[in-house]
Amino acid sequence: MTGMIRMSGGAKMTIDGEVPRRAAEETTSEARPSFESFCAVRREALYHLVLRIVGSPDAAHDVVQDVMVQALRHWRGIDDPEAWCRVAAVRKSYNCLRSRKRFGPMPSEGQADSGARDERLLERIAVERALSGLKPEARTLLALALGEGWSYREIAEALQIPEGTVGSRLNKAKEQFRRRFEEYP
Amino acid sequence: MRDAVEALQDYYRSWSDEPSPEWSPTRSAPPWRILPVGAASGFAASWAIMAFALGGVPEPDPSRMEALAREMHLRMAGQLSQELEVWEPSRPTGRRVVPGRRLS
Repeated sequence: MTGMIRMSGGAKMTIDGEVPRRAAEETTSEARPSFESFCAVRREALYHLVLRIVGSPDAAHDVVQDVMVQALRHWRGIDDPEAWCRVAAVRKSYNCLRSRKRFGPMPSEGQADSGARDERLLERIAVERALSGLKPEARTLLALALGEGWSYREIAEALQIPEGTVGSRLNKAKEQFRRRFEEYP
Repeated sequence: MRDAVEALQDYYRSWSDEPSPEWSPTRSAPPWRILPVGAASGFAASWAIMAFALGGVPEPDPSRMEALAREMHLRMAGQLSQELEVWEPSRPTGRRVVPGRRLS
């Protein structure tokens, strides 16, 4: 995932959700909510979006906090705060998953030996274990498509991949997930 | 065991019940990511001065104090992360990078 994305209103955003300063200065918007009111209304939805991708409340809170701090920095240059924050949240979640791969799983992952006997809980553990074995992109695709119901176009824009390949990668991710899920006793 | 994709969708739905944590100036993004130690202590000092300047009242208005702290924290975080863009502290060489150019 490299390069930049053109947001509505002409502002561009890099993969980490940065709006270049010049673009931010060029873009103005009049009928935007204040940062505070936007946070109050949309932060919870963003939190749940991130939570579905990263699978950990602590990590999700950190990601949302990062997104909000970055949104505040560029607030005047952001034409569509909701779209901007959603894309920034997805990309930061993706980066969070990548860094977690490097530094090991979150404490909540892979706790299959906790002695739990409840069937629902066992299933949840199996899901988490299967997800933790997938690549960050596959996890992000599954969360956006199955958890959030995003269209292929929205996913393609957020992950900066061609729209035509979203379907095939999603099917591949589902297949990988199914295989890992069924491996679990 | 149920179909894997159904189980996964249930798993995603279950996160909807997870309450969103309260916004708190003390529960910020990991401070090592945005606030170096010096800046954090500077923030604490500023916070103490601000509290004193507000009158050093024995019973400050908690909501007002929290709003001020949040605003101050966010401003500092914004300024500092702009400064941090110039450096890449995680790389062992600590090499200087050109501002505005993305790292590979």
